[in-house]
Amino acid sequence: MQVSPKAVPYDIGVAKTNRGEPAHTSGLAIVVGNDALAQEVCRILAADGHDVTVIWGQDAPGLRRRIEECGGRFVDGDPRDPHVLFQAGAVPAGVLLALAEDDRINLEVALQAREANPGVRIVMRQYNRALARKLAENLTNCAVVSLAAHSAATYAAAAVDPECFLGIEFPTGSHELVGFSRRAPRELGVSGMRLIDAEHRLQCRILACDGDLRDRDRVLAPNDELTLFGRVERLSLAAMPLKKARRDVSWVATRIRLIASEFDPLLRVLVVAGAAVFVIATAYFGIALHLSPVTAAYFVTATMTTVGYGDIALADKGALSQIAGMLLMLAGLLIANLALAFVAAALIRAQWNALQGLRPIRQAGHIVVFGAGRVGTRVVDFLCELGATVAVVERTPAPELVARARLETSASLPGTARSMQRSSSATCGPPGARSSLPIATPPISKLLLAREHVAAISPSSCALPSRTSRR
Amino acid sequence: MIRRQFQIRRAFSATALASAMFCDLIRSSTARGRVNVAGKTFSLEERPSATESRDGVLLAAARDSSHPRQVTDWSEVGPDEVVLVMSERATGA
Repeated sequence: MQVSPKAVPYDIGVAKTNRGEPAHTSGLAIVVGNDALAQEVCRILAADGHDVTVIWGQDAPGLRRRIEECGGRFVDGDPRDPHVLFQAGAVPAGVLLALAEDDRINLEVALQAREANPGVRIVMRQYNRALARKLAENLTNCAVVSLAAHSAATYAAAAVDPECFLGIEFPTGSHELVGFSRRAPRELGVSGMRLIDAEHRLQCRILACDGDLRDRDRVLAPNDELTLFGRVERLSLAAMPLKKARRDVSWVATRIRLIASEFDPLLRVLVVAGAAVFVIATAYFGIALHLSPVTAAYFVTATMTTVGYGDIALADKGALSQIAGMLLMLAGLLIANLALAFVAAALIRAQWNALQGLRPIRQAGHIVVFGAGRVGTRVVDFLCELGATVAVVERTPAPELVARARLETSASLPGTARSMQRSSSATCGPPGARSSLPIATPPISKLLLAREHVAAISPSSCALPSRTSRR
Repeated sequence: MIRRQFQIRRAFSATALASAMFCDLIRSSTARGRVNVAGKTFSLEERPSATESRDGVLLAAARDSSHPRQVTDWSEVGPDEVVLVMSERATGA
């Protein structure tokens, strides 16, 4: 990606249609839906001068009031009913926006409206990507958009570059991400440079500097606010490389603390008790039987592991030694069997985790995604395409995601955690996560988990972009 | 409130990110959303380079699903490429 260092005067035109006509800013628009998207679209269209009618017939308390506050008209009725569409003005309407959360309702409404008015332009929301692509190809004068696909680009871009405020998949369907970011020249090391020279060095487009869109010869001051555009990988290089590992002393200390915290408490007691019994028994038999420390340790080991060679016997060593020997045998039996049980359980757990795609992450700089629904899955796709190491925390992951995590041979998707109870190094990787991304509706549980994760493993460096239901 | 309570670096609403694009799609299938730069609202469009309109700030070009290139002049764009263009909105929301 090369940026021409020559100064190019920007031609900031007015938005037009793809045929070159000026965009129309008025007309009747029918919106079908009852959620925040429908209300927000109603508000924007009304502000743009459209006459907006919102249709929804299912139980939605307060919807009429909210729509009227947005500047729209509300029609109460089933949007799939041709009579309701007619009453709402589907025949003269220029545009119908089917924005319900149900793909089937949107499709039915779109087809009804098209039948009533073949000239109506249709904008449809669809979750099913394959169906959306087919509809867009086969239904004339129709645009089909997935809310999840569109917003996932920004979440993924913000996870890679914390200063990115808008990400776009360009070209559509390519999984390539471009984005817009705001930074100061001092963060990028381009203070004092001319704007066009800074562009050349950063290999990113500088669209504006301190609110100025046109002065391309400007010299950058350290604290100017630059608005950058470029491929997300390039934007992120300004912050930190995708897989930059930070393994300093604090990283090692935190790693040790996390590993220690994951030991089963019973196993810890067992290890301590076994070591204590071994040391005390070695000391006792060394004194009682007049053995060297090595020979005493050999005798205690043989007894505790129930091997009992018989080369050192307690038959004629007195009652106290025999009682001590019996206690040692029982303690050895208990400790050895418990230890074997723990080893067997650990092996079974490892096998189960491998089947579930729960592979440990062994490098820093990874991204933890909390939630793998429609948006989260797309975010993971984008991040894997960017070459990022991703850990996904999801209580009920889709089978495809589990299969992908299990079969992935590269480090692109090394962990899929099913437990939402805690995010530890086993599920979310070692300290030094690049960012934690809580994506879910409602997000509060994921936010709590993500905050705990960030506080536990990388309190200072981990970016925490989030999905919210409100701006 | 959520940003402050959970110490979140950035918070995005999927609805806010996409609603403007749904509105722009009523006039053109090439709309890709809106962006605020230097206090102004711009519409983003992904359109074939062969279209007549060459208004707006040319941001990037790509052939099929290849890596997008950053471009600053229409002379750098091939006839069979798609381009990403940023145009200032006549009426802003």
